[in-house]
Amino acid sequence: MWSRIWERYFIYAVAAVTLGVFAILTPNILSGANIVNVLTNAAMVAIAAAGMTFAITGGGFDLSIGSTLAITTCILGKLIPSVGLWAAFAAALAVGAVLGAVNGIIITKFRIQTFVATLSTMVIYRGLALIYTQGHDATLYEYLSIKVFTGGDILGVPVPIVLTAAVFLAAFAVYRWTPFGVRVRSIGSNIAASRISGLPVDRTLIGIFVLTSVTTVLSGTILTSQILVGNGRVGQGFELEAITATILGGTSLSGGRGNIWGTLVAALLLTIIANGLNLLGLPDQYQRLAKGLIFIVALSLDSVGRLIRERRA
Amino acid sequence: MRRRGTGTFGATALALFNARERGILFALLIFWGICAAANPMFREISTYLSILRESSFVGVAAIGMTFCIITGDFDLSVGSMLSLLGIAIVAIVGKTGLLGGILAVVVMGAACGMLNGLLVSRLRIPAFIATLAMYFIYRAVAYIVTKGEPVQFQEPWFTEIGNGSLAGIPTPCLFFIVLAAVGTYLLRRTPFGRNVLAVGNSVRASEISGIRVARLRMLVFTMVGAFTGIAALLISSRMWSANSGMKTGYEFDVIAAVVLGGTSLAGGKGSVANTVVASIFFASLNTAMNMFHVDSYMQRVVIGVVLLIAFSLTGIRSFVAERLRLRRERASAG
Repeated sequence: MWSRIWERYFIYAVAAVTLGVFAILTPNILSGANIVNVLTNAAMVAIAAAGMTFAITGGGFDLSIGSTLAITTCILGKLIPSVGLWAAFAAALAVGAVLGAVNGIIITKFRIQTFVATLSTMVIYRGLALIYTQGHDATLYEYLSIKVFTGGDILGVPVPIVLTAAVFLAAFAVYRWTPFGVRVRSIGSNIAASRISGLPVDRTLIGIFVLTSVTTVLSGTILTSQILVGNGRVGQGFELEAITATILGGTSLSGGRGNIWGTLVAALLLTIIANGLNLLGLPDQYQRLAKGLIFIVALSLDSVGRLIRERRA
Repeated sequence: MRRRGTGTFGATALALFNARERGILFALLIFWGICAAANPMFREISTYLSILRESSFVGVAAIGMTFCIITGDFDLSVGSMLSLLGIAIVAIVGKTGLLGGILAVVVMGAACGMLNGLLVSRLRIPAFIATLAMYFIYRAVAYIVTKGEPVQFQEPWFTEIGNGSLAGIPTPCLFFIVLAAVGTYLLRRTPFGRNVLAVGNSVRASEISGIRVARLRMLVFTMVGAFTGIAALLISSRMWSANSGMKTGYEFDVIAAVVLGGTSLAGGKGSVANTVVASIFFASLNTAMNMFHVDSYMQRVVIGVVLLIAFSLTGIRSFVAERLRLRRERASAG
């Protein structure tokens, strides 16, 4: 009982303690401007991680999202000058859906494990992004309409926060209450049983990978809005960020049990760490060190707890 | 009659894919044949020697990784570990001398690997997550100890290991050949290898039959670390230097070579020889694409497509096998 609650809400405690520690070390972290800054940065990882939560709950991975992120920045960078913001955004969403569907079809029709299938498409999609831009920057310094995705606000709430909230509410609703969500969990717990009981396994898997890609396009749009550049090299390792947030948030790696809100909190936690270390003046690499250590401490606490329980039993 | 016809077709197709045990070798020979027909450079022995040299840099670590994937685990941290170990050897080899340096880098690699193994087998963190965390940590440590600056060591006796040749054979290949032989021997002829295969097939069954699974998994991770240490020696010697940003994505090259060699990600099955051939295949593919002036961005697409084709063969093969089994069952039932 207590262990279940601990498992579920553990990440909230870690996030609260971390925030507390940083609030003591650098009180600036709680300034209004910085909070908006943290939330904007968190939005980028969190939105893609929402999609990744479905993939991991379904028992798979999507390693190709870093490349999808790059493709998104390239499409926006190349198209916005000629067709305008919304047409370019629509194109990016459409391409994202297609890339996700390709992942899903490869996985279901050729029966390749998600890990290796998306490992291959990770390489392919990045190649496509680089071919599309010929490795150059597609800059948007003259086309600031895209700034709406980070600088704009709806009724006073910054757009990235609105987007994150919308994505997570939708993700939670889909996960909890729709047949699709039920199927994702069922496939993640036992794919063979799901197949035998007549669930449309293949269609659901394709749906999952469309979802990871489309959420990544949203993340990519926020990123483009921040850096105002489309480039085939951005987003390397982004898939690991999203996976980190998902797993740290309590989604089980063995599938079947996701934790949508945990993902959001973990994404926030990771951003708070990055931001706090930044404010303390430590370079980027210390953030990676901290990220890795938190990861290990968090997960080994979990296993140590389990070991103790087993000893007692 | 029609049924029988498709059945024969299916059986033939299956037999073809069964050649997959040696499939990667055939693929490599066919590929070399095509390249040799198309480009005279591919008829020179020096081209092949250079391919072998390049293949060693990934292949050495891939031998260790083969064991890891056979047990059903994974090591995503080898690229970051490589960077850290490369920096270590470049920094100390001037003081310890060559043999001392090699010994030190292998021991340090084994220690890093053992740390991974501890997390996975004792703290029971899933290998994917534990090594993902170490992926961040090793590279961060590499950055912090060097402050992001490259370290260099350019004495010829050191750089010769990566760049030189011995009796016409590139020196990295000598390491590669010896380690491949050691790996094959370990996997096929020793109790250790049998246990690795057994654990990959079924952890439960192995536990019941008295294999100390946790210790074995830790040993396998230690081994991955030691082999990555040798790879770090070869690569940093080749580049005369090492830095905290080197070889990002190396873990994916290594895993791709192992999986292309037919080692199943589900564990329990695999061969060192096929991993070696797959490493050579990747190096050949890279060399050929450079020779034919394939756009460097297009090269990635080609590599990805090759991986996909290789991986789908297993899927298609099991699909055909399943169809055949169903048909046979239906025939015997009817």
